Amino acid sequence: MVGAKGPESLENLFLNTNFLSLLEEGGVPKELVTLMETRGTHTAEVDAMLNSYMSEFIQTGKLKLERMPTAGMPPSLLSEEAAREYLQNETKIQETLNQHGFVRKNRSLTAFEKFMRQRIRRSGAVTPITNVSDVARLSEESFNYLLETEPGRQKISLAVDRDYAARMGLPTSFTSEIDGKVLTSEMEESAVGKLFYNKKANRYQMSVGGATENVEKSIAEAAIQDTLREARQGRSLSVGVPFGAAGQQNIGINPGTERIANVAMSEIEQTELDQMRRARSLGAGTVSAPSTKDEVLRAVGTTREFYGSDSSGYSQILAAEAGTTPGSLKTAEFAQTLAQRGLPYASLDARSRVLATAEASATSEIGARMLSLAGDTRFQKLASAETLSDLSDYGIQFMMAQGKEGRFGFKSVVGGRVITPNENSYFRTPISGTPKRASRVIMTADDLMKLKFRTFDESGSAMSEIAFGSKEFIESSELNRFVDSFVQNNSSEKILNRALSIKNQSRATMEDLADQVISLNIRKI
Amino acid sequence: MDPETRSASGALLFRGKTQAQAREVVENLMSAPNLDLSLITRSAANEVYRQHRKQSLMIQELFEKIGGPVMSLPSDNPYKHHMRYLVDPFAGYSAEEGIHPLLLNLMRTSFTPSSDAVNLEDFTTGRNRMRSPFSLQRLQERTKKFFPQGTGRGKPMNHLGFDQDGKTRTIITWDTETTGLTPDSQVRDIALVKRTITSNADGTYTYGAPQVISRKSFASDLMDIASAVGKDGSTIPLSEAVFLSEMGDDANPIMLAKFRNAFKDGGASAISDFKEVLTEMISADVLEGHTAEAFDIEKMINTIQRLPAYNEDPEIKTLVQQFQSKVRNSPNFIIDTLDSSNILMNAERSELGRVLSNEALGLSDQLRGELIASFSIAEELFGRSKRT
Repeated sequence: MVGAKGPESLENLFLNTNFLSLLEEGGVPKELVTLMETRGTHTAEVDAMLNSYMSEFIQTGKLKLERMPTAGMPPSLLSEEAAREYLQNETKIQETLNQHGFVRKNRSLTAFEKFMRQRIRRSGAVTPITNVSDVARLSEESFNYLLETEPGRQKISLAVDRDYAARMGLPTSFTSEIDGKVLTSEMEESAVGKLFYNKKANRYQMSVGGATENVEKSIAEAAIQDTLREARQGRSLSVGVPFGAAGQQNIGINPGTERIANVAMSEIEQTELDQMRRARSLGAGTVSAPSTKDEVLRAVGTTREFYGSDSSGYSQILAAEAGTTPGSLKTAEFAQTLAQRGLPYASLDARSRVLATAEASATSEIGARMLSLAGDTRFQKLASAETLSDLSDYGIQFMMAQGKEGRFGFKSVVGGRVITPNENSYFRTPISGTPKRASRVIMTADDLMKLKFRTFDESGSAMSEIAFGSKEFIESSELNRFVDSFVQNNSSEKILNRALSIKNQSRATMEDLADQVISLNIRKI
Repeated sequence: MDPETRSASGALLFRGKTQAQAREVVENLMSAPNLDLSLITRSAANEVYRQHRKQSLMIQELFEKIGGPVMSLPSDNPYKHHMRYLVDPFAGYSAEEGIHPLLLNLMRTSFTPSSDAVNLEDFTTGRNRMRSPFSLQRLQERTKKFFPQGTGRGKPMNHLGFDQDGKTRTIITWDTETTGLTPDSQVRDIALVKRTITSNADGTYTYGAPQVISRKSFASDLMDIASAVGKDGSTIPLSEAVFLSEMGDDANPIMLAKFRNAFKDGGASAISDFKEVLTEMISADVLEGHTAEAFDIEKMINTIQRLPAYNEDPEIKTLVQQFQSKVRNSPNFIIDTLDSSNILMNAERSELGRVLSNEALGLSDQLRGELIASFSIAEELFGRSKRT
């Protein structure tokens, strides 16, 4: 199943309709219960089984849009004006929706519904780039990072019910303000609150529907730690949830695992963090420089020595050590060897380190051209693609600088005219003779949000700092400047290209920004 | 397919094929659920996209006569704003006429405006999942049987397109899990659930209990660039960690060995599994799945055909051909429950819109529109992110 969460995604159909009530009414099949002991949705068996029932309920006309009530709170997604109007008319809207069956009349959930909603909520497709789905599978180090460090805990969000919220001192009352009047509403028994760290507000918050409350750091962290410790026990902690007529059916769950809504760390990130921590613990963080030519020659080809014969990609790096214990891991041995042979970035994770070597080799021709143009005789002996490729274990990659493509013989063709690009800063490469200028550094929105605009005094000390997206940034006519252009302007599918175009900044500010951009990009390699 | 508009990838596809084989390939392409624009040149693809918007979505007339889409759906992407029309699938037509193709297209189309949208071109629609005329016509035909008891909330929606003939049919519901959504991703888990349905003469249906008849799981290199840690501290490739966790106490060394070796040695073991799966599928009267037509079929066939063992096994080739032939020639064989639920949920939203339009409520258009959008997604899924 595609992992979409649109209106017609399976998980939304399960949660946003009367599906679970219908399933329980018909008698929950034993086979499904057995499957759900160990699986969530986003597993083929469970999804196929549930979809079989979904198809039946569509065919028989039983499936209906049905929401759980959110008394006193505006539903999610409403704008401020709409939320205000909603709260002013809440009683009659709820009555109308209730009367027509769009809002559930019975406000309580059965044990089966509670369990299923929890399980569906926390389930997700497992791939290397999706977030960690089970903390019981993390290494001790990665788990302790989440449990014991502040940045780690901030990566966890929980889905908590009213009982757990009350037990841990989390909010169960939510307030909304309309035209100066404060309305308070209690969390419904069926409601689910989301406890999360709001980076913008720089604090923990809990939301139910469209209402949000701030949460004391100590209380939020206690709930997160309690949940993590519980979830860490995996299937060895199993609490029976009785359901069905007279509660004769039972399903064993780990309450902590069910409560974790998201761990903001992907499977591949946790793998790589593990490798880096392990490498450092084995001393790979300290590189001893090679002192003789023989040692240098021995270092060259280290990556090929370890992984060169693999023909099926980087997965072999990990596959090769399946079932082995940390002390005998090939990735750890690789990191140690890199360090002992004086090669840089030895404590980088193996995949990134191999990729860095591959990229160094792939960009060796650019390097050769750059060194031959440099005019510095010290580098002349290195100015061949073969030599640089041989030295790729040193991880030196060569890139054409922004706006310096002309040095490599590249020219732009605009409207049939051949134009040599003007050399410019890291950020922009203006093409002369065109009404619009093109931006050449592509950054993700997340990365952009990390940029700081600093001013410096003559000694190079930072005097002030404005964060991207802050109030000061928004109000600054020199920083808050964007230029729009279109990619594939001639096609019917234009893509908006929005370029940050700050002006009147000192060279030091621009260089500092360039460093930030480069380091953000390096982090992704 | 005009050779003038065939791209290099399209030409490669035909290289070395006999005329009959080429015809088979073209027929499969033409009967694919989605238009595959990667097989034609960029300019031809642009023209197909343009014509799709002009003729299939009638975008100009829509904006002029109805206005832009008003239903705003939540998006994880801060730079994308997905909008849809509120489509009443039953409006203006009798149940026997089925659902108009334009409505079927509109129901699954999101419009994504640029931040400064001023003309129609600034509202992009997806290029990758444009429904093919073949698939659209088939669905439209089937919708003529959808409402034997008329339309309305709570009325049966015969989305399987059965006649009320008293027959008992076998239906297989299936699902796949893949290593991701990239073009080279593979099926790593596939399951089939079988049950019977009797279509009674009085318009009711009798369902048998569903049973899992097949589950195949494969260790995949594409998953195993990440790993997990076992209880004893040993490293476990991600796909195996997931497999062991899902199997729980049912996992045994034989199953584990089969799982590990599935794609090894050219994928002979996986091919053997796919043969079982395809045989079951072909034997069913109906094969249904969520996104089955739009995604899973293509992903399964791609996974099979990319395994070296496929080329050495005439039996799997025959089964794939039989499967594709049944998909192509039996109009009611493949059911994508994404279509069915899409139609049902659009009908539900339209009914919600009517209820909220009640004059006694006196709600503004803005609140009504925003409530319908809000009611489209479960509260628990708002703001949920599975990515870092």
